[in-house]
Amino acid sequence: MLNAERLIYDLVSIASPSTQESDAVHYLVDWMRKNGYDQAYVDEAGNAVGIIGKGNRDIVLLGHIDTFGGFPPVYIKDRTLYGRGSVDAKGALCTFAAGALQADLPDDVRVVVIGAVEEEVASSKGARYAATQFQPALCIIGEPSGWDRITLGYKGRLLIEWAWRGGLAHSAGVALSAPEHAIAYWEQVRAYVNRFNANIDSVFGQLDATLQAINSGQDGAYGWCNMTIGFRLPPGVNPQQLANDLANENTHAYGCEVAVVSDKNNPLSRALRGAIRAQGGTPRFVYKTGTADMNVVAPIWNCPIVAYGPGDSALDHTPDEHLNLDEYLQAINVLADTLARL
Amino acid sequence: MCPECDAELNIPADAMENEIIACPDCGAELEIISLNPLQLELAPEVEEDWGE
Repeated sequence: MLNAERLIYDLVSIASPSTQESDAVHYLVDWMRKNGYDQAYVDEAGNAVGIIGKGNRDIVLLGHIDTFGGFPPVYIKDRTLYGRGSVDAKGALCTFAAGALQADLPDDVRVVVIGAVEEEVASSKGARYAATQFQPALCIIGEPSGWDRITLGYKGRLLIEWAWRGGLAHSAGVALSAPEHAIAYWEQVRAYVNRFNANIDSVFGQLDATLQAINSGQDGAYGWCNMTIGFRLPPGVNPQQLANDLANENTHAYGCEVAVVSDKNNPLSRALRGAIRAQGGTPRFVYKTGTADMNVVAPIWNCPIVAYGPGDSALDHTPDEHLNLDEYLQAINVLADTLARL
Repeated sequence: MCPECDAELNIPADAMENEIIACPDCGAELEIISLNPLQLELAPEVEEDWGE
């Protein structure tokens, strides 16, 4: 097994759901130390950090080492690695770790590879800490887009917790029950979203709302109901303004991230397209409807930024998550060539 | 020549490989695949996809 293949197999074999990344982080830092990184350490947030080169121009390769929950069996069949995190997003992180080693770096470049913690939860703890430690000239976020596709943008996000508690009334009466209050608020949200989307065909341009959870019950003479509503925000929608528009005495908004869209002509995009073509591919661009650590660091670093990584993001969070190892090796070649072009 | 409409194009002197330029006639976005010899292709369209 190639060194890069051993790396991803081992890293996927170590469960690392959000907030429980320590074993995987230490494995990656040890791998970096053994394979010639100039520095490799665990930072104060618990991120794995590896540095190659001594130039004064930082290129940060920011992947995440935590995964969505669940831990389906890890195995390789027909050159395909199955297991949680193989696509989202240890494939991209290992592409960064191996590709940075393989690259013939320009003398003025220092590459920083980060395996950030807690990307899959609203805290984004690892990325937020990394944002205070570096000021890169360029940044690539590690998320699956396919080896020949470059992610230029992510939607923003807002979460609203809605909670209601009130005295019970006889079910034969006219008073609304707690779940009926919840449904009334959800219908208000749906009407707001439908009005916003009335003349917008593009999925990336639409405002999306999802009822993520709803629970209700009785507590003595009181009824209660809680809902979690998630929003995906297109460019131009301020999450705080949306929260204000939908606020009432029962709501609590959090997890605000603005949408981010990169210039398709920035130096990273140019270098990646050249490298993809050199590998025999035809480069493509994509906007994603989810969010990533790009939403966190882009407004802070304000540098050219894109996301890249092997694999099919439609497999994110699924029990059948898998990554073709030949695509992974191709992405490593693309990443190494990209770094040499910058 | 624009590969979309055959219009004559003036490539800026400081143009770079893989830079995307717009055809002044038809507005098509073109990627400079090679500067010497000059080779242009239609730039990729932006797709939309679910996920992170």
